[in-house]
Amino acid sequence: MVSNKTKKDKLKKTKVKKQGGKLVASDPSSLKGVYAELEAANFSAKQEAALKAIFAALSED
Amino acid sequence: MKHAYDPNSGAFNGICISPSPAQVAAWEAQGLTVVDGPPLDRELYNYLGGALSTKVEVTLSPDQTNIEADGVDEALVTVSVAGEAPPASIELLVAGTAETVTLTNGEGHLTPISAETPCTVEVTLSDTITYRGEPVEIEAKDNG
Repeated sequence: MVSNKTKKDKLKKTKVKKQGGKLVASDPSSLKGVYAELEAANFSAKQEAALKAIFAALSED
Repeated sequence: MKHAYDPNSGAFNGICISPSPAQVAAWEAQGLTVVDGPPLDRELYNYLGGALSTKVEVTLSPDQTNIEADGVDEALVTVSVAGEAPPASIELLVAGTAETVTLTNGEGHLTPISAETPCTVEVTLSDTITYRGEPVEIEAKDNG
């Protein structure tokens, strides 16, 4: 059962942006959201590879 | 029965069968106008223009409430505003972000909603003084 507080917190985390004639929602605090932000940032290939390895390891946990 | 409303916004803020003088004073101290009125569910009414009137009913109907968090799958929310003279547009809040929907004869569609990550998108009315209606939630799940 999901409590009202948990549900509210979950709703608060959702952000939307307009993109290609659509409203695109995401949770920037989710693992996938953080990873997307990092991918969009201007990281060096070495930094990106290290972060990808960290996130791959976290995703497996 | 006493009603208390905000004369600036028209919001129906309080209702009480027999409020104490202290309660009336507290309402007035908040800038609310206190008047006699019938017993009713204040969630369904407002005091726009200083007159008691029913809120306009708005129905939000999504074509689906569960979408894939793949940035492609999308939900389309149809908006229906009741009444004989519906407005030309209405503002909704999509995850707290204002989005205007153009209406034709009281009907319109919200810009399609998709999701890039698992999340829940709540669509609500922006103006809850003039309108009333149930919010809808679109749940995006990662199935991949």
